[in-house]
Amino acid sequence: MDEYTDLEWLAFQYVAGDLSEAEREIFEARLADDQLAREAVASAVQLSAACSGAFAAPNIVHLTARPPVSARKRTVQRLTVLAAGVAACVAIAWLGQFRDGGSGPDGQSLRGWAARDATDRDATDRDASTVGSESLWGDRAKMDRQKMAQQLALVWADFSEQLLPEESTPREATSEASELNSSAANGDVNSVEDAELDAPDWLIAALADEPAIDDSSDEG
Amino acid sequence: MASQCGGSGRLDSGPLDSATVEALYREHAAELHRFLVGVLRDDTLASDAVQLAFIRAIEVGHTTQEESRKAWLFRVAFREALAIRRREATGERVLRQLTSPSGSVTAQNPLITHEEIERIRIAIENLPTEQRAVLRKRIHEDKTFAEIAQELGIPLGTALTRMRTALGKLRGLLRD
Repeated sequence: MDEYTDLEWLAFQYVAGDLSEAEREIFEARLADDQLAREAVASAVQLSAACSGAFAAPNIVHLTARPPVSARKRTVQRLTVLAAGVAACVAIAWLGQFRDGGSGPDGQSLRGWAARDATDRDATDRDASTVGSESLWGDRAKMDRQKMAQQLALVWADFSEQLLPEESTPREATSEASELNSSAANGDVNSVEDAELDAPDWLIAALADEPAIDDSSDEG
Repeated sequence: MASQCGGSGRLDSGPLDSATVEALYREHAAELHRFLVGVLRDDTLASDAVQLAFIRAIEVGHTTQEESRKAWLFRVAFREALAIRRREATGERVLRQLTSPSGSVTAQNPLITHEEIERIRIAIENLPTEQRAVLRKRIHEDKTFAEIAQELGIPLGTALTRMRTALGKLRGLLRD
C-alpha cells in the first residue's frame, strides 16, 4: 500500500533533478505519450512541495512546549497577588506588634510555656487515645491547632527577644508572660484577655481559640 | 446557405463553451500546473504553459473526445512547456529550483495547501529517524544522495531505499 512504485520513484527523481541527462530525455519522451507518467510527475511535485513546506514550517512541538502568553501572564498575575497577600500579612503582623507598644512576654518564658504546653498535651493525647476513634479525629484537629499556636508562640518569642532590651525590662516581661502562660495553659480565655498583655492580637487569638475547640469537642 | 450550414455545423462542433472550459479548468488546472512545474522547474513558466494549454483547449478542444480530454490537455501542455523551455533556455538555470529551500516550492506556494503541509509534517514526525534524516537532507538541505550516504555513513543504495520508503508512506496522505 505504502510502496512507492517504480514510475512514482522515477517521476520523483525526474522532479528532483536526480536523473542523468540521458535518463531525463528518455523519461520526457515517455511523458509525451504516457498520461500516468505525467500524473506521477504532478504527484511528485506535490509531495516535494509538501515535504519542503513541512520542513520549512515552524516546529509546533516547540510552540506547544511553552504555555501561551496569556496563560503565562495569568500565572504571573496570580503569583503577584499571592506575594502581595503574604507581604500584607507580614506587614499587619509587624504593625500589630508596634501598635501594642512593642513590649511583650519574654521569649524564654514563652519558649518554656510552649515546651510545658507540649508536654501537657502529649499526656492529654495519651488519655484521649483510649476514648475512641471519633474523639481521636477531634484530638488530631486539636493537636494541629495546638501545634500552630505553639509555633506562633515561638515566632513571637523570637520577635520579642529582638525588641525587649529596648522596650521593656526582662523582669516585667517575664511576669507578664507568666500570667499569659498560666492563663493559656488553664484554657481561660477571659483571663488571657484581662491580663492586658502586650502580646499582639493574632497571638492572643490563636491561643484563645483552643478552649472553644475543647468545649465543642467535649460536647460532641 | 452552404455557409450557414457550414456555419451551423461549425457552431455545433465549434469551440468549447465557457462552462465546459471552466469545468475543465477547475478539475485539472491544479494538477496540470504541478506537472508543468515538474517539467519546467519554474512556477511562473508553468503558469504560462497552463494558460497556453487552455487557450488551445478553447480553440480546438472540441476535436477531442470528452473522456480523453484530460490526457489531451496534459499532452498539449507538455508540448507548450518544452517549447517554453527551449525559448527561455531555462534548462539548467531552473533545474534545481524545485528542491532548493529557497526555490519555488515553499509553504506559501499555491502548489500545496496548508492543510496538506500540516498533514505531511505530522507524518514526517512519525517516520523512523533514519528515513526522516534522509528525507530532510535531500529535500530541505538539498543534498545529493551521494552526500547523504557519506554523511550518514551508509551505502548509497540504503539512502535511496530509505528515501523511497519514506515517500511511499507520505504519498498516500496526499492522494486523499
